[in-house]
Amino acid sequence: MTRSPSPDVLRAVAEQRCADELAALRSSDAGPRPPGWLLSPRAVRTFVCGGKAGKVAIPRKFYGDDALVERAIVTLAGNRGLLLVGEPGTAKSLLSELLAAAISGDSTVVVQGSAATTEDQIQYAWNYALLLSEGPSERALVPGPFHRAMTGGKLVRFEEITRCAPEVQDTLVGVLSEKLLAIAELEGAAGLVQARPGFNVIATANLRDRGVHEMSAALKRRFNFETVRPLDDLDQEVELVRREAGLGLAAQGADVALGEDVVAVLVEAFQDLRSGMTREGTAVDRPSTVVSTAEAVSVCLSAGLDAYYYGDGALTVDGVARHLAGAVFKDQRDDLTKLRHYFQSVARARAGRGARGKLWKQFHEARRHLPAE
Amino acid sequence: MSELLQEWRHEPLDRDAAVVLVPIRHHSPACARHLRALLGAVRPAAVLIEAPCDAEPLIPHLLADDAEPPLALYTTWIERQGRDEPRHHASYWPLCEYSPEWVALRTAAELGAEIGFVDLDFARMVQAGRRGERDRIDSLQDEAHLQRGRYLDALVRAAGVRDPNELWDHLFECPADRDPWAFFDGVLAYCSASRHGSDPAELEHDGTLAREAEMVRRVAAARGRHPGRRIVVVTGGFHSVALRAVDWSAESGGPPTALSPDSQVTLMRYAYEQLDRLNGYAAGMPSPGFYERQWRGEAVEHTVTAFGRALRVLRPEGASAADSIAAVEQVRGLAALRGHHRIGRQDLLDAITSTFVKGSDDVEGVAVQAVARKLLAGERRGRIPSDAATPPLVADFEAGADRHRLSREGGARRELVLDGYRKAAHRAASRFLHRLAVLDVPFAQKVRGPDFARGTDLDRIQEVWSYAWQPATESALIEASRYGASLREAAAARIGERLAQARDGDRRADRAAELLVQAAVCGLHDQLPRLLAAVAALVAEEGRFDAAVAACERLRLVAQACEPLELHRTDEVGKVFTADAVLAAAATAWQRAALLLAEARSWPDDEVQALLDALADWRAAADDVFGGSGPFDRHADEVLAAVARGTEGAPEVPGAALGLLHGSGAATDREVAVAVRGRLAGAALAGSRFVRGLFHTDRSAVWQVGEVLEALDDLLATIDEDEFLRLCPHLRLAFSQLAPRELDAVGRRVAERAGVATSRPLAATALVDADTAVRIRAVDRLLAEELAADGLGAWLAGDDAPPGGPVDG
Repeated sequence: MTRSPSPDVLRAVAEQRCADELAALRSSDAGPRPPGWLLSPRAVRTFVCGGKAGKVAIPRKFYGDDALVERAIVTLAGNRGLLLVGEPGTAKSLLSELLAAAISGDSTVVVQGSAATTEDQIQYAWNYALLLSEGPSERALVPGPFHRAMTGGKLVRFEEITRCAPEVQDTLVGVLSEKLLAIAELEGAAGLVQARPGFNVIATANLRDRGVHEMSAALKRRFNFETVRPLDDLDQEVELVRREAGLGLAAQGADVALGEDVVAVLVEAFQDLRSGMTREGTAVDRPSTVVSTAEAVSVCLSAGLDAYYYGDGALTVDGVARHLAGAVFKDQRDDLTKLRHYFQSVARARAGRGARGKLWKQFHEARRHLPAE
Repeated sequence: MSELLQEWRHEPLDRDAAVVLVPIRHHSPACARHLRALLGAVRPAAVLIEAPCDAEPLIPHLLADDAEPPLALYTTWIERQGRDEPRHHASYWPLCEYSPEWVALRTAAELGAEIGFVDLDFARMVQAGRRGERDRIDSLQDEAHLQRGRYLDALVRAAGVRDPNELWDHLFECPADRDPWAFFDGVLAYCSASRHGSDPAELEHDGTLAREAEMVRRVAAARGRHPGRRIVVVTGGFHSVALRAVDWSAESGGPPTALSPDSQVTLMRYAYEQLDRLNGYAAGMPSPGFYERQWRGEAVEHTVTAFGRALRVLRPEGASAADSIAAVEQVRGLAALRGHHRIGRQDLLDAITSTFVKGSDDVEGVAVQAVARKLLAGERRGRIPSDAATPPLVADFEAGADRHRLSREGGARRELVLDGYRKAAHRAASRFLHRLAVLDVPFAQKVRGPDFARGTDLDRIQEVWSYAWQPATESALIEASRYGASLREAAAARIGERLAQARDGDRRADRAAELLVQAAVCGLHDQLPRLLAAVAALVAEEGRFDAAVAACERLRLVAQACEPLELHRTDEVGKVFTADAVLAAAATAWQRAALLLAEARSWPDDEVQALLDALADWRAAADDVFGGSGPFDRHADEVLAAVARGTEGAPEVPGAALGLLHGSGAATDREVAVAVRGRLAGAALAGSRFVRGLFHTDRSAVWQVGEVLEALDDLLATIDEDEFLRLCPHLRLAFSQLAPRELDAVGRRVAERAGVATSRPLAATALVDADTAVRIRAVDRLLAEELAADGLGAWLAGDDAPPGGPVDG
């Protein structure tokens, strides 16, 4: 995957990071394009799930359910918006960013939902100084993300839509059904913004979390819901964690060897804790915090940096265990007990057995790094 | 993957061969369409199909005009040789209107070609090694071989689909129709990969090779009958691969294997929901309803609308026309993206999930997906032609239902009241319904009535049943067909099977006795002597005291029930089965129990309650049934005396034994007193448990034998808190067996002994919180002051003396 080095920014947006791939896809794309789209649906799928664009190999960027990606793409070409739901850390925002980058070439038209989000942060606002001196005019209008997306025929991303107050969410109902934004203060054609082809909404939501509101039935009807699940394929998740942690470490200039087996031990532990059941069928108490792939990546990253600066440049199981508690143990005492129990029971059972027995043994011994209760 | 491809090379089908092998997947509409085209082009002299050869006589019924799929061939075989109890095997071979085999039959008839079935008959398949499932009837069209293998996994991943069913749709069902030879080439390649990866030893073991050998023989024979002409052979693709290797010019065939006796095949009506379930197990094509709609060329709008309506029944606010419109758009979009000319099953399911689910898949989505699956499974039921025979058991059921005037229409449940004692017709109806229950055929449930198995409600005269015919009634009857051709025969066989299971399994005599009762209520009088003998045999070997006692109880009930159940009227074998014979068996069971009781060295702790109950029952049996004091009584007392002295294992049992002895007068009060004091003095915990057992069987001991309470009182006075906590549960269990009045009596006795007045409460419990208690006390104080000021202070003294002093205003 090409990576346009940008030492000035911490994280480049997808259309910058993958500029070469998008260019290759555009040039080799022969399929029919929905109006306003820069790529055909199949090319978008290739961009997200991997494949070939002419001679150029496109790596996979989203791990999980390819059928989900296909459904998302088809939804965006239709009348309804797309709402990605799922637990935290399942790459909903990543998928949203990739789709926007591929379809509209611009993933920066974003609304970050929160309890403090208001209507003018979504649709449009006013430059009050101009408004007062000149009265309402197009010059005084400050277009919000929806306005920009509608006039530009682009996708708008609405992150964490359910964190907004329900009244604010419902301002979208009219926009989504009529594809029309009415600006009461302006007269004539300027007062009626009709969406250009290529406009649609990708929203993301965690349905079960603190601080999340209900969505009204009227708004739900304007969206197709797609559930993004956490990965349960061990090999895929290991590959993903290694890649993402590797990229993070490379960005810091830290050259660390991320052994596949070490990462596999971590990922397997996370999968067990997430699902509540080990591969051998033992039941495990699930911690109340979410142990998603994102946490696994962050643990690897911390452990990698630790190894680079304080260690000998190779990721060890011991190092991973040291940083594990921070990821899992957020504010619940019980979670620490559950994690300790996991070390004592499952890690001990696996110590010395199987392909990674030695590493599990080290993992079991590393439980001394867990904070004392 | 390249090394996989190098391992085998695929050769295309020979379009000019005399023997045309057509590989199909069962219930694939694409295969059916292309097969029809191919048959039209080839115009063969014979069409041979992979189906059990003993079903050939049914072909005319399958071709009848009024035969409506879904139908199934139902094959059964009763394996008798080399077994004490026969083993029943059964299997289904289903057909839908879009099955390639159905199309083959019908097209061959149109072309005037000979039609033949070339597989082994079912009995020989089983003998060759075919393994069925123990607890359900499976499909003869099992395709599990085709769903496994590295090649298939690699193909699934490469195609970007989720599972082999979706892969099949993507490769074969969804693309537009093409040249049939090219199509079947593709199918053959698909199946070759699986065949190549399978183990020859396994295929030998499960009978596949034997079946294919038979197919070769029959095909060769057909060639002989039509020299110089072409023959089409329609088989599952897995077999076509093997048949390809045959050199037909060299193959002379040899006589086909003769049909085996005891093998039966019937034509029955089938249902889509059953097929969906069956194919789920057999790795066959799922969702018959969906593929039928596709076969009939139904537009996707119809399917989506039907789904929307079905969902609205469940959730009136949850599915609107807008959702349906969005779903249709979504389906078409997905099909276009995936390059499907025809809508695929997964395309439809995906679109429904996207548009109708308003929440996360695993919460809100579950109901929606369930409705979708049900709709796609479909509800069609087939009909066998009027000239075909109904399976005998079904016919027997229908005749019986008509005879007893029970409705065979489905719908709301009806109530039926049967007066078995007075009306012979009602007795017959009751037996009819009990037989259905024994066969686990869902039709009727007994709501009220005498239960001869458990010995409850025996004073009830009428039985009340609630019944309703449902589709599952018929299919359960069909499945029960392997037990026999009439309800009587089948119920008897089923009971026989359960008896064999009991004999091979835990060998409990009481379970066998239960079967005897079941046979009695079913009116299977000719089975009773055999069952009684089996019960007697098991009783003679029974090693568990409580099982022996339970068997004795059941046999007693049967003896009592001889009159109401007409058991004495058992025709020629009546002499063997009389109430006396049953009582004699009960007596044997009783004595066996006595033996076990006498021989037992110790009593397990975890079965105490069961043992106590069994002990009481056993002693009562001696009293009730065998006629008062007599040899059984004395015997019982002797055995109990020995038990009462026992010291091993659960102390409750000796206590209970002593209680029984006391109750029958065989132990004096003095003896009881001595025993209780002795036990309590020895080990307090064991003693407490002994007392519990004593109270279980003889509550009167507690006040009749004063020593008992005294001993307990003394004990409680001497022990410390920890010890008390240990004893408390057992003593509590002991005393909780007393009735409230008895407890009062005990309380008075104890109070007397302690010299404490009994009108005062023995304990005070704080019922309110501290604040309220303080306020109550304050009110109390005020009240006391007021009363004292009025000279009524004596009222608060709490005794019955009249208030002293003059009453002031």
